[in-house]
Amino acid sequence: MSIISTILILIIAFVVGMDGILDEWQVYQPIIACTLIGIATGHLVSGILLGGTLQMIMIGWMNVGAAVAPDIALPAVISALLVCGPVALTIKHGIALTIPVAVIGQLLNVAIRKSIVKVVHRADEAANEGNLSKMNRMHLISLSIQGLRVLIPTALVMVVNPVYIQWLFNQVPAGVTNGIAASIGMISAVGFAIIINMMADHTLWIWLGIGFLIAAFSNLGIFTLALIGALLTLLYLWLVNKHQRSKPENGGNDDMDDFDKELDDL
Amino acid sequence: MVKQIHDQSSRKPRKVELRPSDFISIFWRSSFEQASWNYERMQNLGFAYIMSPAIKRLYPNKSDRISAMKRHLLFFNTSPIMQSLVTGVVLSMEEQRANGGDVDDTEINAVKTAMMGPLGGIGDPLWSGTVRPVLSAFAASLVIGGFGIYGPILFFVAWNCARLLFRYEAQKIGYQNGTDIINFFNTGILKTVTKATSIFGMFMMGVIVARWVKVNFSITDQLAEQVTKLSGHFFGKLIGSGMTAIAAIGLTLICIWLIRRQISPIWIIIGLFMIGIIGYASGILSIQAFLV
Repeated sequence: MSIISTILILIIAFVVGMDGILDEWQVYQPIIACTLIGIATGHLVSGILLGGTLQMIMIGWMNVGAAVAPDIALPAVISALLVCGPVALTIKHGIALTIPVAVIGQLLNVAIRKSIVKVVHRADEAANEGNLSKMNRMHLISLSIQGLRVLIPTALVMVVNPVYIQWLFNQVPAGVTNGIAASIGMISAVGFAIIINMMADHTLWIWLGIGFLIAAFSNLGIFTLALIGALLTLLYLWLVNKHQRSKPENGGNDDMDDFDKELDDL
Repeated sequence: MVKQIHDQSSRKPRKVELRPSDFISIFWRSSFEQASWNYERMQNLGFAYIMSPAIKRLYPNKSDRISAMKRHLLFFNTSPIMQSLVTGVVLSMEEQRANGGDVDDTEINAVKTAMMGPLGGIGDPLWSGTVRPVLSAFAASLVIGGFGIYGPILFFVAWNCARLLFRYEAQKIGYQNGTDIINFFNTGILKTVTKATSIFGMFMMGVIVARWVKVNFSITDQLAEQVTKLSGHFFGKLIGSGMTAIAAIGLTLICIWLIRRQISPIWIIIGLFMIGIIGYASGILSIQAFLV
């Protein structure tokens, strides 16, 4: 691998690691992280395809409250590096690899979130001194540590001779990798289950059913379906609102205006 | 013009005021809120980091500055994108306070605490539960459907436009309305908005499960073909999509049931790998076309 692509990969790993904790720019989502690694290594097509496949697996992996989900940033970068880089694993191997790496990433993430407490105590000291720039520095140091969380393992993988990694993956029986590839469509259910579990209460299940039935037995596109969903939501709330009109209430119309705003934000 | 100047001088003069550049700087910093997420006080340093241009502008006096820094290093945790609304409200309170207004430390902290819970209740279902899955599933389907680079570009641009626009507006609205936002929360509107986002989110989850969860039975197509031969095209199609649909929703419900029993998602995934390996070896399951 050329020096330029090595440097690019390390920069990407650092940025992806930072965004993994920020959860803002979504660069760490596999569909983007794998694409970037694909560009850096010059194997864009396999990077994008791997990213799209991993995205379906990891789509619902999210931190709910303070609970930390399996890691996304590290497996996205490592898998993409091994598939698009000189090791040139197949996409099936790349997928099989993600689960153990996701567990390692999760352990690292939890350990760092604990040890960041020390950095935060330094920020407390800065507050006692009234030193704003020191406090800001502590925040950015924490961010860099999270970046290193992905950069260092990536660099370690890059140091290993590709031949050894290839040999290791050749030891995995074809039945196993093919079986894992056959389970891709099922694995996305786990992520969706996490999200549904977060949102569900007993009054909401019916909506899951309605959305499911309309989508399963029609050929409508996802944005058409989203529009139908938005209209049904508004209709339902309008009916509920109308039903409650008999009771003393004011500001009903304002409610509707706010829904419109909220839905525009979607 | 003369009248305006006269008006201003007749009122109590404003000592310090946030400048447009401060708002821009705070808005930019809000995209880095969670960098120092920790198990002790969670997003506390993140919030203080976002506030720091305002602290610098409003409190040139050292002791005021120290107390401002300390009060923003207290526990804070909410859904990251919704935090901009809290920032806006807190900015207006801090500005009042710096100009001798009747606002004390505990009040500012109470407002932060009062807002973070309800906003977390809207933010997670809305952003992580609906917007991201819908956008990224659509982007992934573009990739698998052969549109390559347009998938990731669409996802990145659409998500970040929505997010940045929301953060910008929320910060502005929070600042303009100040603590009135809290009264607004108490009118029940918040409850209805939460309800609306959850209903819409669940509907879209149903759609996504139907479109993207797939148990690849190798016999579905053959079975549908057989039925088509026997009793016509309509029934053949119904059997085919019916079987796929029942498998998809059934599997998802089983996963939810397992997650509610505190089984780690990782173990469920490993279990599904096992089913995949056994199913493929016995010829019941097949591999999706784009992976072969």
